[in-house]
Amino acid sequence: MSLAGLDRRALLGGAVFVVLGALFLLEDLGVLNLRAAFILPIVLIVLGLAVLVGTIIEPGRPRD
Amino acid sequence: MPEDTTGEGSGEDVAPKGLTDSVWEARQRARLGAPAASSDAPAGPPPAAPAAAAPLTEAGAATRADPTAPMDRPRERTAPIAPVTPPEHPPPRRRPLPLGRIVLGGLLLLGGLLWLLGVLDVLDVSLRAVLSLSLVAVGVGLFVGARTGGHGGLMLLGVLLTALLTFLSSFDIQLEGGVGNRTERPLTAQGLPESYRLGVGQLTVDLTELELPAGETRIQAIVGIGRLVVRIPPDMAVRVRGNAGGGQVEVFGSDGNGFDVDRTARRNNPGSASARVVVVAEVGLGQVVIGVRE
Repeated sequence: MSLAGLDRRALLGGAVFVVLGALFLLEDLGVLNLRAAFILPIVLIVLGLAVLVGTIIEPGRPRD
Repeated sequence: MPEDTTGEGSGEDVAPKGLTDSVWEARQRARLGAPAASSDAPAGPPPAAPAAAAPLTEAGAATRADPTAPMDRPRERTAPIAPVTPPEHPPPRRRPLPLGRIVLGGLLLLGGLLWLLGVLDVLDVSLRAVLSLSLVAVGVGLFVGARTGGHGGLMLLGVLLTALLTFLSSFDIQLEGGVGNRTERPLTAQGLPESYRLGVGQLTVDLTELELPAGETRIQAIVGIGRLVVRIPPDMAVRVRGNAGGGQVEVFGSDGNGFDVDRTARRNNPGSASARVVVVAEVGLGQVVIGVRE
């Protein structure tokens, strides 16, 4: 599937939100038992990865 | 007194002396700009018109020689009109759907529906589950709308939901149970609910009048944000655990504070060895106090 013509930032943001939402949902349902102390670091790691990946796949994108 | 030969000021429609009726009528028409002369106007050349009577146009030159003729408006020459073709409009472009509004409307609809079902006891859905599903929906919306681009609103909504869920999950805040101050005084073990819950506020669970059966009785109380107080009679055999995602926990005078604070204690009563209460008191953000009440 080609990514040409797609807003890659929207794709990346969508992927991050879907993953985080699924993690929060599984934790709330008791399927995952994330310790409270792990949640904030995990969120920061995911967001940091998203920023890095976004920068790498769109290096020339001008800032809005 | 001189004679008024113009007839002005006489106020009568009678020719002055020295003028024939026809001449008088012609002069009156010329002065008033009246329409064409009546049939009884004299034939033959009319009296000479003043030179500055009117600029004559091509069409009006013939008639302006006659002072009794109506004042024709000059006609303008017009060029032949070319057929006008309407400008070609570009084919109407379909506006991209306002995805942010669609997702927001869907989320509000879904949230209201789940809330209503929860109030009606049809479905038991926690607020965190609804928020998590909303975050997933925002992510799917961004995927779907990646072709059109420009979804700053959805991005902002996703970031806000992530921040809220991180806050609620980090402190294990459960907001079910409403808002306010509430005191519970259970009398029998059969009337105990699975757990006492309060979203925001102060919840007091007073066990001083509780009749205990033989064996172990479990009591759970949860407050999202606020203060939770558990009062225990001095002769009750208990095992207690107090937990706060963030805040302070005080159990029988021993306290601790910070993040994810946990305190446990046990107290035996030789007189009622067969009856014991297990108390679990949890606060997401706030204070837990478990103490003896005389």
